Amino acid sequence: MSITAADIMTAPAIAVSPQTSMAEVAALLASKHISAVPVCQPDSTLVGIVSEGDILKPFRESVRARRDWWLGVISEGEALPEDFLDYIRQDTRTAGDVMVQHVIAIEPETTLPEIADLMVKHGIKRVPVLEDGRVVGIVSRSDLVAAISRAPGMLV
Amino acid sequence: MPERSPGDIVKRQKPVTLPDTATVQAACRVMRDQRIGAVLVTAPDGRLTGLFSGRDAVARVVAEALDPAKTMLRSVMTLEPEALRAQARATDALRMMDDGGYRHLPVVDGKRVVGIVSRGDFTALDNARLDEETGFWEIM
Repeated sequence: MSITAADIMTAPAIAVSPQTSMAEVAALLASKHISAVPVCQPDSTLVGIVSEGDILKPFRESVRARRDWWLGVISEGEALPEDFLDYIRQDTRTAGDVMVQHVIAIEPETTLPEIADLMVKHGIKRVPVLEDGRVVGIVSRSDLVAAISRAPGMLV
Repeated sequence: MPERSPGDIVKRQKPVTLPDTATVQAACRVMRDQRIGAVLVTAPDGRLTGLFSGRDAVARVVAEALDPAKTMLRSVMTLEPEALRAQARATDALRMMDDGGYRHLPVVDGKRVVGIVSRGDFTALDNARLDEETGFWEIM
């Protein structure tokens, strides 16, 4: 029997609601060391995904904001710079406003080579796992690395 | 604050190196256990010959449906990766990462591998210096 997403996914997945503020999303991405997070309704229905890139889009002209954001994210393990948090606290948008609605997602039955193919093809590091449209987990690149280290043989 | 060199950053590192005959599975075990994103591959004389990352594991092993317990690093690693000299400056490291799209860079002293640096090793100040030098944010 093939190893599938259900065997290796991180569950439950970290998620935000469409009403979550930008400051909360930013703090969550930084503290969990992730670059994107699924956006779900209270019943776990997936409605989108929000990434650091989506948050930064309107700040194209603001060199300072983008740099502080970037520094916070790459400083892995450190808190976001306080002045950036101040800046983003003034942002009135929510996750629902900036999320991408077209999300590459998989099912619990998706096999590991299929997951890896999707990651390569779309240049992504994590994919939500959906069951009846609801997020039941997420598979990241590090979940795949961990699966390889455990697998007794072929992953197909 | 003086600028830290990649040599300073790796001073306390014992870099994780594997021979190119190690399996992908062994490399992934090391990456998982030590929570690192890449391992360095060296020849018996200590010379750097390759780099294998989690991204390589996904794209070159899992996506290709290879058996990680039977696939040796030599057939899927990035050969002869770009490396930094230990004496290089932090801004050199960051620039090399930006130009090449790398997250990890091996650090070598002559031919000897002394460590690996990743983006997160550098401070905000290092990054600000690179910005000043390149006008990076103006062109993004």
